[in-house]
Amino acid sequence: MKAECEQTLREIERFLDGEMQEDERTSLDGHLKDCSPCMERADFKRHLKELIASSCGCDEVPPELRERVQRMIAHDPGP
Amino acid sequence: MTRSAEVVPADPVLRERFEREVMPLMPGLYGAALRMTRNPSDAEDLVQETYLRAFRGFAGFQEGTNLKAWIYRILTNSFINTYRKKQREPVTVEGPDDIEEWYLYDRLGGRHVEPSAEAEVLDTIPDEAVKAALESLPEGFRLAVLLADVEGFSYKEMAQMLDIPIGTVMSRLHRGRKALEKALWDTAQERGIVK
Repeated sequence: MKAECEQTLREIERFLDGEMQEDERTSLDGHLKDCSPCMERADFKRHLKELIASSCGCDEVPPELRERVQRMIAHDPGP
Repeated sequence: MTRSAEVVPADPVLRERFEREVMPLMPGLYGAALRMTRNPSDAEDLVQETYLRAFRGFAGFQEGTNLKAWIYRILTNSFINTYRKKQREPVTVEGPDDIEEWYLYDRLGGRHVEPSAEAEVLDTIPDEAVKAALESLPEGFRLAVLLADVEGFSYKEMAQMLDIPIGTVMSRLHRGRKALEKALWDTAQERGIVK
């Protein structure tokens, strides 16, 4: 694996997490556009992130919890 | 900006704003509480405690700053300080350290001729299996992955929430994601999604 690929893959999480400065981001993005194996790995990690978000973010609140909290707040002296 | 900490108790304006802005965050908070406690009854208690603390501290919230980060910090602190203490156990950050990089990608690779098929296999894993995989992680890792990937917080916000340095956030997140990849692979094998 080329050094540039190694560097890219080491930094890929920070890239996908949106934690890079503009110049770093542009440079990494440039490599991905030129290197399909790195691009495929980046897409895989991105997909995994999306899967975790969509699978784990859709629980329904039990109605009695909502009522309990609303009641509690209505009876609390508050802020 | 005026200091809102001086308002009288039960300020109707604050109460109304709390109901309008904070109550709608409950589905996300409840889901996060479920992943933290792994138990619906404890998750409900945790959400209730979070709302009580948030309501009582709402005067201290500065309008214009990040409300979601503010209440998730209360949730996370309530989980760590109250819930975990009740269990008499500290938050665990121990976990397998020898999981290779690209654990899941390398195992899924080579099974299909189509490019990007690795990503498609992911879509066949049911939601509850992904939740179970996340819940199987040691707490420190679970919190990091939950806050970053499910809730979308930045490293800096997570560092403030968990009261740890940014470098520690990144390390827990990286190790947590690797552990999650392994848990997903194990569950996909058990369910016969991959062989």
